[in-house]
Amino acid sequence: MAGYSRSIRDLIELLTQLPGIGPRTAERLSLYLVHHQPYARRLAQAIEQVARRVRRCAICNNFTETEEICEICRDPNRDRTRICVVEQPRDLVVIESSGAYRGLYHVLGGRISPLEGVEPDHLSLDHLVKRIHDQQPEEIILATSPTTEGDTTASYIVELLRDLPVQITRLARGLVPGSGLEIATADMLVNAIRDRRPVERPGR
Amino acid sequence: MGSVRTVALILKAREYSETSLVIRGFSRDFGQFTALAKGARRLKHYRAGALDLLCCSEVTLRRRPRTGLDLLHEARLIREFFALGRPFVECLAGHVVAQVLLGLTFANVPEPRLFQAAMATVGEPTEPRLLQFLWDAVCALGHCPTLDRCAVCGIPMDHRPQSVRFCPVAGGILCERCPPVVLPGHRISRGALRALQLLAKGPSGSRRKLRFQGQIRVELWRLTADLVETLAARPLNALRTYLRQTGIGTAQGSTRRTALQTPPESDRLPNRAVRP
Ligand SMILES: [Zn+2]
Ligand SMILES: [Zn+2]
Repeated sequence: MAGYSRSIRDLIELLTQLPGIGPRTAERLSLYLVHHQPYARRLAQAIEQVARRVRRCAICNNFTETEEICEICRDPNRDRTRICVVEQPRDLVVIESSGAYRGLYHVLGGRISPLEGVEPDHLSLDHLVKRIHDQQPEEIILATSPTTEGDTTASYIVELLRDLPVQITRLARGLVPGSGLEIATADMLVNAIRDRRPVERPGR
Repeated sequence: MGSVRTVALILKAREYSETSLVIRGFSRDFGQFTALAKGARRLKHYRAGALDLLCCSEVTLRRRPRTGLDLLHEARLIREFFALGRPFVECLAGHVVAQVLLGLTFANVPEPRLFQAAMATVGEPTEPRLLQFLWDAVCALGHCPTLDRCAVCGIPMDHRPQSVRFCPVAGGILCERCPPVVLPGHRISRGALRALQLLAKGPSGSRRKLRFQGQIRVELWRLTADLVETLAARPLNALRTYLRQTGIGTAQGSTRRTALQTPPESDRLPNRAVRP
Protein backbone atom coordinates (compact mmCIF):
# COMPACT_ATOMS: atom_id res chain seq x y z
CA MET A 1 0.00 0.00 0.00
CA ALA A 2 2.86 2.35 -0.77
CA GLY A 3 1.61 5.82 -1.68
CA TYR A 4 -0.72 6.16 1.33
CA SER A 5 0.39 8.18 4.33
CA ARG A 6 1.73 6.42 7.40
CA SER A 7 -1.47 6.38 9.50
CA ILE A 8 -3.60 5.11 6.61
CA ARG A 9 -1.08 2.34 5.99
CA ASP A 10 -1.20 1.43 9.70
CA LEU A 11 -4.99 1.32 9.64
CA ILE A 12 -5.04 -0.92 6.56
CA GLU A 13 -2.52 -3.22 8.18
CA LEU A 14 -4.57 -3.45 11.40
CA LEU A 15 -7.84 -4.11 9.57
CA THR A 16 -6.20 -6.88 7.56
CA GLN A 17 -5.71 -8.76 10.82
CA LEU A 18 -9.49 -9.02 11.33
CA PRO A 19 -11.08 -12.36 10.39
CA GLY A 20 -12.41 -12.42 6.84
CA ILE A 21 -10.82 -9.09 5.85
CA GLY A 22 -8.30 -9.13 3.02
CA PRO A 23 -6.03 -6.26 1.92
CA ARG A 24 -8.53 -4.96 -0.67
CA THR A 25 -11.40 -4.79 1.81
CA ALA A 26 -9.11 -3.27 4.44
CA GLU A 27 -8.13 -0.57 1.97
CA ARG A 28 -11.76 0.16 1.10
CA LEU A 29 -12.78 0.38 4.78
CA SER A 30 -9.83 2.62 5.60
CA LEU A 31 -10.68 5.06 2.82
CA TYR A 32 -14.31 5.09 3.94
CA LEU A 33 -13.18 6.03 7.47
CA VAL A 34 -10.94 8.77 6.13
CA HIS A 35 -13.89 10.23 4.23
CA HIS A 36 -16.32 9.94 7.19
CA GLN A 37 -14.47 11.48 10.11
CA PRO A 38 -17.34 11.91 12.65
CA TYR A 39 -18.22 8.24 12.20
CA ALA A 40 -14.55 7.28 12.44
CA ARG A 41 -14.30 9.07 15.81
CA ARG A 42 -17.42 7.34 17.16
CA LEU A 43 -16.09 3.97 15.99
CA ALA A 44 -12.72 4.62 17.60
CA GLN A 45 -14.46 5.47 20.87
CA ALA A 46 -16.60 2.32 20.75
CA ILE A 47 -13.54 0.16 20.11
CA GLU A 48 -11.70 1.86 22.95
CA GLN A 49 -14.63 1.24 25.34
CA VAL A 50 -14.86 -2.42 24.39
CA ALA A 51 -11.14 -2.92 24.81
CA ARG A 52 -11.10 -1.13 28.16
CA ARG A 53 -14.32 -2.34 29.76
CA VAL A 54 -15.26 -5.76 28.44
CA ARG A 55 -13.79 -8.72 30.29
CA ARG A 56 -14.70 -12.29 31.17
CA CYS A 57 -17.20 -13.05 33.94
CA ALA A 58 -15.35 -14.60 36.88
CA ILE A 59 -18.05 -17.26 37.20
CA CYS A 60 -19.23 -18.28 33.74
CA ASN A 61 -16.54 -16.86 31.41
CA ASN A 62 -19.16 -14.89 29.44
CA PHE A 63 -18.43 -11.27 28.54
CA THR A 64 -19.17 -8.71 31.22
CA GLU A 65 -18.49 -5.05 31.79
CA THR A 66 -18.54 -2.70 34.78
CA GLU A 67 -19.03 -5.64 37.19
CA GLU A 68 -16.78 -8.64 37.69
CA ILE A 69 -19.81 -10.92 37.42
CA CYS A 70 -22.06 -10.88 34.35
CA GLU A 71 -25.75 -9.94 34.36
CA ILE A 72 -26.93 -13.52 33.99
CA CYS A 73 -24.88 -14.80 36.92
CA ARG A 74 -26.11 -11.88 39.05
CA ASP A 75 -29.79 -12.34 38.16
CA PRO A 76 -31.58 -13.82 41.23
CA ASN A 77 -34.46 -15.03 39.04
CA ARG A 78 -32.37 -17.50 37.05
CA ASP A 79 -32.67 -21.22 37.69
CA ARG A 80 -29.45 -22.03 39.55
CA THR A 81 -29.88 -25.80 39.36
CA ARG A 82 -28.89 -25.89 35.66
CA ILE A 83 -25.73 -24.90 33.82
CA CYS A 84 -25.73 -24.86 30.05
CA VAL A 85 -22.24 -25.35 28.58
CA VAL A 86 -21.62 -23.47 25.32
CA GLU A 87 -18.55 -22.94 23.17
CA GLN A 88 -18.66 -19.17 22.69
CA PRO A 89 -20.53 -16.15 24.03
CA ARG A 90 -22.40 -15.91 20.72
CA ASP A 91 -23.89 -19.38 21.34
CA LEU A 92 -25.13 -18.11 24.69
CA VAL A 93 -26.71 -15.13 22.92
CA VAL A 94 -28.47 -17.46 20.46
CA ILE A 95 -29.90 -19.62 23.25
CA GLU A 96 -30.92 -16.57 25.27
CA SER A 97 -32.77 -15.10 22.34
CA SER A 98 -34.75 -18.32 21.89
CA GLY A 99 -36.25 -17.64 25.35
CA ALA A 100 -36.41 -21.39 26.03
CA TYR A 101 -33.85 -21.49 28.83
CA ARG A 102 -33.69 -19.70 32.17
CA GLY A 103 -30.74 -21.38 33.82
CA LEU A 104 -27.09 -20.37 34.05
CA TYR A 105 -24.31 -20.80 31.48
CA HIS A 106 -20.70 -21.78 31.23
CA VAL A 107 -18.68 -20.51 28.26
CA LEU A 108 -15.80 -22.83 27.30
CA GLY A 109 -14.04 -20.32 25.06
CA GLY A 110 -13.84 -22.71 22.11
CA ARG A 111 -14.07 -26.39 21.33
CA ILE A 112 -11.54 -29.19 21.21
CA SER A 113 -10.01 -29.20 17.75
CA PRO A 114 -7.04 -31.59 17.64
CA LEU A 115 -6.18 -30.66 14.06
CA GLU A 116 -5.91 -27.00 14.99
CA GLY A 117 -4.01 -27.78 18.18
CA VAL A 118 -6.90 -26.78 20.49
CA GLU A 119 -6.69 -29.15 23.43
CA PRO A 120 -8.83 -29.61 26.54
CA ASP A 121 -6.35 -27.48 28.51
CA HIS A 122 -7.18 -24.48 26.34
CA LEU A 123 -10.82 -24.43 27.46
CA SER A 124 -12.22 -23.23 30.79
CA LEU A 125 -12.86 -26.78 31.98
CA ASP A 126 -11.06 -26.72 35.34
CA HIS A 127 -13.23 -23.78 36.13
CA LEU A 128 -16.36 -25.73 35.20
CA VAL A 129 -15.40 -28.62 37.50
CA LYS A 130 -14.75 -26.21 40.36
CA ARG A 131 -18.10 -24.54 39.74
CA ILE A 132 -19.91 -27.87 39.90
CA HIS A 133 -18.17 -28.66 43.19
CA ASP A 134 -19.02 -25.25 44.64
CA GLN A 135 -22.54 -24.70 43.32
CA GLN A 136 -23.72 -28.31 43.12
CA PRO A 137 -26.14 -27.88 40.19
CA GLU A 138 -28.53 -30.71 39.34
CA GLU A 139 -28.01 -30.66 35.60
CA ILE A 140 -25.27 -29.82 33.11
CA ILE A 141 -26.65 -29.26 29.62
CA LEU A 142 -24.06 -29.75 26.90
CA ALA A 143 -24.82 -27.27 24.14
CA THR A 144 -21.61 -27.56 22.17
CA SER A 145 -22.20 -27.39 18.42
CA PRO A 146 -23.68 -30.48 16.75
CA THR A 147 -20.45 -31.09 14.82
CA THR A 148 -17.71 -33.70 15.13
CA GLU A 149 -15.57 -31.22 17.07
CA GLY A 150 -18.49 -30.13 19.26
CA ASP A 151 -19.34 -33.77 20.01
CA THR A 152 -15.66 -34.54 20.67
CA THR A 153 -15.70 -31.72 23.23
CA ALA A 154 -18.91 -33.07 24.74
CA SER A 155 -17.36 -36.55 25.00
CA TYR A 156 -14.41 -35.10 26.84
CA ILE A 157 -16.65 -33.24 29.29
CA VAL A 158 -18.73 -36.36 29.92
CA GLU A 159 -15.56 -38.24 30.92
CA LEU A 160 -14.27 -35.30 32.94
CA LEU A 161 -17.47 -35.12 35.00
CA ARG A 162 -17.88 -38.88 35.22
CA ASP A 163 -17.64 -39.07 39.00
CA LEU A 164 -19.50 -35.91 39.89
CA PRO A 165 -23.06 -36.17 41.21
CA VAL A 166 -24.73 -34.21 38.43
CA GLN A 167 -26.96 -35.21 35.56
CA ILE A 168 -25.50 -34.53 32.12
CA THR A 169 -27.77 -33.91 29.17
CA ARG A 170 -27.15 -33.03 25.54
CA LEU A 171 -29.26 -30.84 23.28
CA ALA A 172 -31.47 -32.97 21.03
CA ARG A 173 -30.20 -33.51 17.50
CA GLY A 174 -33.06 -31.49 16.05
CA LEU A 175 -30.33 -28.97 15.40
CA VAL A 176 -28.75 -29.25 11.98
CA PRO A 177 -25.83 -31.66 12.43
CA GLY A 178 -22.54 -30.38 11.13
CA SER A 179 -23.27 -26.70 11.70
CA GLY A 180 -22.90 -24.25 14.53
CA LEU A 181 -25.64 -23.20 16.92
CA GLU A 182 -25.76 -19.79 15.31
CA ILE A 183 -27.59 -21.02 12.24
CA ALA A 184 -30.28 -22.76 14.29
CA THR A 185 -33.67 -21.11 14.20
CA ALA A 186 -35.40 -20.19 17.46
CA ASP A 187 -37.91 -23.03 16.97
CA MET A 188 -35.14 -25.57 16.47
CA LEU A 189 -33.42 -24.42 19.64
CA VAL A 190 -36.61 -24.50 21.70
CA ASN A 191 -37.16 -28.10 20.58
CA ALA A 192 -33.52 -29.06 21.09
CA ILE A 193 -33.57 -27.74 24.65
CA ARG A 194 -36.96 -29.25 25.46
CA ASP A 195 -36.02 -32.67 24.03
CA ARG A 196 -32.54 -32.82 25.53
CA ARG A 197 -31.46 -36.30 26.50
CA PRO A 198 -29.36 -37.67 29.36
CA VAL A 199 -25.90 -38.66 28.16
CA GLU A 200 -24.70 -42.17 28.97
CA ARG A 201 -21.49 -42.12 30.89
CA PRO A 202 -18.82 -44.73 30.25
CA GLY A 203 -17.85 -46.92 33.16
CA ARG A 204 -20.37 -45.52 35.59
CA MET B 1 -14.17 -30.75 -17.20
CA GLY B 2 -17.45 -32.43 -16.24
CA SER B 3 -18.71 -33.42 -12.82
CA VAL B 4 -17.48 -36.54 -11.09
CA ARG B 5 -19.06 -38.40 -8.25
CA THR B 6 -17.06 -40.26 -5.61
CA VAL B 7 -17.12 -41.31 -1.99
CA ALA B 8 -14.96 -39.26 0.33
CA LEU B 9 -13.93 -38.88 3.92
CA ILE B 10 -14.16 -35.23 5.00
CA LEU B 11 -10.85 -34.20 6.57
CA LYS B 12 -11.26 -30.51 7.12
CA ALA B 13 -13.84 -27.78 6.65
CA ARG B 14 -12.90 -24.13 6.82
CA GLU B 15 -15.36 -21.25 6.73
CA TYR B 16 -15.01 -19.18 3.61
CA SER B 17 -16.91 -15.91 3.22
CA GLU B 18 -20.26 -15.51 4.98
CA THR B 19 -21.88 -18.57 3.48
CA SER B 20 -19.35 -20.97 1.99
CA LEU B 21 -16.93 -23.65 3.10
CA VAL B 22 -13.63 -24.86 1.75
CA ILE B 23 -13.52 -28.62 2.20
CA ARG B 24 -10.53 -30.90 2.17
CA GLY B 25 -11.35 -34.53 1.66
CA PHE B 26 -9.83 -37.89 0.85
CA SER B 27 -11.66 -39.60 -1.97
CA ARG B 28 -11.78 -43.23 -2.97
CA ASP B 29 -11.12 -42.44 -6.62
CA PHE B 30 -8.61 -39.60 -6.75
CA GLY B 31 -6.96 -39.17 -3.38
CA GLN B 32 -6.97 -35.83 -1.64
CA PHE B 33 -8.98 -32.89 -2.95
CA THR B 34 -9.82 -29.35 -1.95
CA ALA B 35 -13.22 -28.04 -2.95
CA LEU B 36 -15.23 -24.89 -2.54
CA ALA B 37 -18.77 -25.57 -1.32
CA LYS B 38 -20.59 -22.38 -2.20
CA GLY B 39 -23.46 -21.58 0.11
CA ALA B 40 -22.78 -24.67 2.21
CA ARG B 41 -23.40 -22.77 5.41
CA ARG B 42 -26.88 -21.92 4.20
CA LEU B 43 -27.39 -25.67 3.83
CA LYS B 44 -29.62 -25.45 0.79
CA HIS B 45 -27.88 -27.97 -1.44
CA TYR B 46 -26.08 -30.12 1.07
CA ARG B 47 -27.77 -32.65 3.23
CA ALA B 48 -27.12 -31.67 6.82
CA GLY B 49 -23.85 -32.91 8.23
CA ALA B 50 -22.48 -34.27 4.96
CA LEU B 51 -19.56 -31.86 5.11
CA ASP B 52 -18.72 -32.31 8.76
CA LEU B 53 -15.30 -33.55 9.81
CA LEU B 54 -14.81 -37.33 9.51
CA CYS B 55 -18.14 -37.93 7.83
CA CYS B 56 -18.19 -40.27 4.89
CA SER B 57 -20.16 -38.67 2.08
CA GLU B 58 -20.93 -39.13 -1.55
CA VAL B 59 -19.74 -35.94 -3.21
CA THR B 60 -20.20 -34.54 -6.69
CA LEU B 61 -17.31 -32.34 -7.74
CA ARG B 62 -16.48 -30.24 -10.73
CA ARG B 63 -12.77 -30.82 -11.00
CA ARG B 64 -10.62 -27.81 -11.72
CA PRO B 65 -7.07 -29.13 -11.97
CA ARG B 66 -5.66 -25.80 -13.05
CA THR B 67 -6.74 -23.93 -9.92
CA GLY B 68 -6.40 -26.90 -7.56
CA LEU B 69 -9.76 -25.89 -6.08
CA ASP B 70 -12.69 -28.05 -7.19
CA LEU B 71 -16.30 -26.96 -6.93
CA LEU B 72 -18.46 -29.10 -4.72
CA HIS B 73 -21.95 -29.38 -6.18
CA GLU B 74 -23.59 -31.89 -3.95
CA ALA B 75 -22.86 -33.94 -0.85
CA ARG B 76 -24.90 -36.76 0.57
CA LEU B 77 -24.11 -38.15 3.99
CA ILE B 78 -23.36 -41.87 3.99
CA ARG B 79 -22.00 -42.33 7.49
CA GLU B 80 -21.55 -39.95 10.38
CA PHE B 81 -18.56 -40.21 12.73
CA PHE B 82 -20.68 -40.20 15.93
CA ALA B 83 -18.20 -38.62 18.32
CA LEU B 84 -20.68 -38.36 21.17
CA GLY B 85 -21.05 -41.58 23.08
CA ARG B 86 -17.55 -42.70 22.15
CA PRO B 87 -14.65 -42.65 24.58
CA PHE B 88 -12.75 -39.40 24.10
CA VAL B 89 -9.57 -41.15 22.93
CA GLU B 90 -11.55 -42.83 20.15
CA CYS B 91 -12.78 -39.41 19.04
CA LEU B 92 -9.15 -38.29 18.99
CA ALA B 93 -8.19 -41.36 16.95
CA GLY B 94 -10.59 -40.20 14.25
CA HIS B 95 -8.90 -36.79 14.20
CA VAL B 96 -5.51 -38.51 13.93
CA VAL B 97 -6.68 -40.38 10.82
CA ALA B 98 -7.75 -37.07 9.26
CA GLN B 99 -4.49 -35.35 10.08
CA VAL B 100 -2.34 -38.20 8.79
CA LEU B 101 -4.26 -38.31 5.51
CA LEU B 102 -3.93 -34.53 5.18
CA GLY B 103 -0.21 -34.71 5.87
CA LEU B 104 0.82 -37.76 3.86
CA THR B 105 -1.44 -38.10 0.83
CA PHE B 106 -1.55 -36.10 -2.39
CA ALA B 107 -4.13 -34.72 -4.77
CA ASN B 108 -4.94 -36.83 -7.82
CA VAL B 109 -3.13 -39.89 -6.49
CA PRO B 110 -5.76 -42.57 -5.78
CA GLU B 111 -4.98 -44.80 -2.81
CA PRO B 112 -7.95 -47.19 -2.75
CA ARG B 113 -6.42 -49.54 -0.16
CA LEU B 114 -5.57 -46.70 2.15
CA PHE B 115 -9.06 -45.29 1.66
CA GLN B 116 -10.49 -48.61 2.78
CA ALA B 117 -8.17 -48.72 5.80
CA ALA B 118 -9.14 -45.16 6.74
CA MET B 119 -12.85 -45.94 6.51
CA ALA B 120 -12.42 -49.04 8.65
CA THR B 121 -10.45 -47.11 11.29
CA VAL B 122 -12.89 -44.21 11.43
CA GLY B 123 -15.70 -46.75 11.80
CA GLU B 124 -13.95 -48.41 14.74
CA PRO B 125 -11.29 -46.03 16.07
CA THR B 126 -9.76 -48.29 18.70
CA GLU B 127 -6.08 -48.09 19.63
CA PRO B 128 -5.00 -51.31 17.85
CA ARG B 129 -6.81 -50.25 14.69
CA LEU B 130 -5.30 -46.78 14.71
CA LEU B 131 -1.78 -48.16 15.13
CA GLN B 132 -2.35 -50.57 12.26
CA PHE B 133 -3.81 -47.74 10.16
CA LEU B 134 -0.67 -45.65 10.67
CA TRP B 135 1.46 -48.54 9.42
CA ASP B 136 -0.93 -49.19 6.55
CA ALA B 137 -0.58 -45.53 5.59
CA VAL B 138 3.22 -45.56 5.87
CA CYS B 139 3.53 -48.74 3.80
CA ALA B 140 0.79 -47.99 1.23
CA LEU B 141 2.49 -44.67 0.47
CA GLY B 142 5.81 -46.42 -0.18
CA HIS B 143 7.62 -45.51 3.04
CA CYS B 144 7.74 -48.93 4.67
CA PRO B 145 10.96 -48.95 6.71
CA THR B 146 13.61 -51.62 6.42
CA LEU B 147 13.10 -54.00 9.34
CA ASP B 148 15.18 -57.08 8.50
CA ARG B 149 18.55 -55.57 7.58
CA CYS B 150 20.49 -52.43 8.34
CA ALA B 151 18.86 -49.53 6.50
CA VAL B 152 22.25 -47.95 5.81
CA CYS B 153 24.75 -50.73 4.96
CA GLY B 154 22.27 -53.52 4.21
CA ILE B 155 23.77 -56.26 6.37
CA PRO B 156 21.13 -58.77 7.49
CA MET B 157 20.00 -58.37 11.11
CA ASP B 158 18.69 -61.88 11.67
CA HIS B 159 20.92 -62.64 14.67
CA ARG B 160 18.11 -61.43 16.99
CA PRO B 161 19.88 -58.81 19.09
CA GLN B 162 18.36 -57.84 22.47
CA SER B 163 17.70 -54.37 21.19
CA VAL B 164 18.20 -52.46 18.00
CA ARG B 165 18.32 -48.85 16.84
CA PHE B 166 15.51 -47.55 14.67
CA CYS B 167 16.04 -44.33 12.77
CA PRO B 168 13.12 -42.77 10.87
CA VAL B 169 15.39 -40.52 8.82
CA ALA B 170 17.56 -43.48 7.73
CA GLY B 171 14.38 -45.45 6.95
CA GLY B 172 14.65 -48.41 9.26
CA ILE B 173 16.78 -50.29 11.75
CA LEU B 174 20.53 -49.83 11.95
CA CYS B 175 23.38 -52.16 12.75
CA GLU B 176 25.71 -51.11 15.56
CA ARG B 177 28.30 -49.81 13.09
CA CYS B 178 25.98 -47.50 11.18
CA PRO B 179 25.57 -44.77 10.46
CA PRO B 180 28.76 -42.80 10.34
CA VAL B 181 27.04 -39.69 11.72
CA VAL B 182 24.83 -39.26 14.76
CA LEU B 183 21.15 -39.40 13.80
CA PRO B 184 18.20 -39.16 16.18
CA GLY B 185 16.47 -42.46 16.70
CA HIS B 186 15.01 -44.97 19.10
CA ARG B 187 16.47 -47.99 20.76
CA ILE B 188 13.78 -50.65 20.64
CA SER B 189 13.52 -54.08 22.18
CA ARG B 190 13.54 -57.32 20.23
CA GLY B 191 9.82 -57.71 21.05
CA ALA B 192 9.03 -54.28 19.63
CA LEU B 193 10.96 -55.05 16.46
CA ARG B 194 8.98 -58.26 15.99
CA ALA B 195 5.77 -56.26 16.51
CA LEU B 196 6.87 -53.72 13.90
CA GLN B 197 7.45 -56.48 11.40
CA LEU B 198 3.89 -57.70 11.97
CA LEU B 199 2.43 -54.21 11.70
CA ALA B 200 4.33 -53.56 8.50
CA LYS B 201 2.78 -56.64 6.95
CA GLY B 202 -0.71 -55.03 7.24
CA PRO B 203 -3.22 -54.39 5.91
CA SER B 204 -5.86 -53.61 8.49
CA GLY B 205 -8.52 -54.58 5.96
CA SER B 206 -8.04 -58.08 7.29
CA ARG B 207 -9.71 -58.93 10.56
CA ARG B 208 -6.34 -59.26 12.25
CA LYS B 209 -5.97 -56.77 15.09
CA LEU B 210 -2.71 -56.68 16.94
CA ARG B 211 -2.87 -55.69 20.57
CA PHE B 212 0.25 -54.58 22.38
CA GLN B 213 0.73 -53.82 26.02
CA GLY B 214 3.22 -52.48 28.51
CA GLN B 215 6.61 -51.27 27.37
CA ILE B 216 6.25 -52.64 23.85
CA ARG B 217 3.10 -50.58 23.36
CA VAL B 218 4.90 -47.42 24.47
CA GLU B 219 7.93 -48.16 22.27
CA LEU B 220 5.73 -48.85 19.24
CA TRP B 221 3.64 -45.72 19.61
CA ARG B 222 6.54 -43.36 20.17
CA LEU B 223 8.45 -44.76 17.24
CA THR B 224 5.39 -44.79 14.98
CA ALA B 225 4.53 -41.19 15.88
CA ASP B 226 8.10 -40.15 15.16
CA LEU B 227 8.09 -41.99 11.84
CA VAL B 228 4.78 -40.47 10.72
CA GLU B 229 5.84 -36.95 11.75
CA THR B 230 9.15 -37.38 9.97
CA LEU B 231 7.32 -38.38 6.79
CA ALA B 232 4.87 -35.50 7.14
CA ALA B 233 7.86 -33.23 7.86
CA ARG B 234 5.94 -31.43 10.58
CA PRO B 235 4.47 -31.99 14.03
CA LEU B 236 0.97 -33.51 13.99
CA ASN B 237 -1.11 -31.94 16.76
CA ALA B 238 -3.81 -34.57 16.81
CA LEU B 239 -1.29 -37.39 17.13
CA ARG B 240 0.48 -35.63 20.00
CA THR B 241 -2.80 -34.99 21.81
CA TYR B 242 -3.67 -38.65 21.30
CA LEU B 243 -0.40 -39.82 22.87
CA ARG B 244 -0.86 -37.49 25.83
CA GLN B 245 -4.43 -38.56 26.43
CA THR B 246 -3.58 -42.26 26.22
CA GLY B 247 -0.71 -41.78 28.66
CA ILE B 248 1.93 -42.70 26.07
CA GLY B 249 3.39 -39.20 25.76
CA THR B 250 6.11 -38.09 28.11
CA ALA B 251 5.45 -36.44 31.46
CA GLN B 252 6.39 -33.12 29.88
CA GLY B 253 3.34 -33.56 27.75
CA SER B 254 5.11 -33.71 24.45
CA THR B 255 6.07 -36.56 22.21
CA ARG B 256 8.57 -34.30 20.56
CA ARG B 257 11.12 -35.08 23.20
CA THR B 258 10.87 -38.77 22.44
CA ALA B 259 10.27 -38.28 18.80
CA LEU B 260 12.01 -35.74 16.69
CA GLN B 261 14.68 -34.41 18.98
CA THR B 262 18.11 -35.85 19.48
CA PRO B 263 17.96 -38.60 22.12
CA PRO B 264 19.81 -38.19 25.42
CA GLU B 265 23.56 -38.76 25.41
CA SER B 266 23.42 -42.33 26.68
CA ASP B 267 20.92 -43.21 23.99
CA ARG B 268 22.77 -41.80 21.01
CA LEU B 269 23.83 -43.82 18.07
CA PRO B 270 27.51 -44.75 18.15
CA ASN B 271 29.61 -42.31 16.24
CA ARG B 272 32.07 -44.15 14.09
CA ALA B 273 34.43 -41.21 13.92
CA VAL B 274 35.19 -41.41 17.64
CA ARG B 275 35.35 -45.18 17.88
CA PRO B 276 38.77 -46.68 18.31
ZN1 LIG C 1 -21.41 -14.98 34.37
ZN1 LIG D 1 24.84 -50.93 8.97
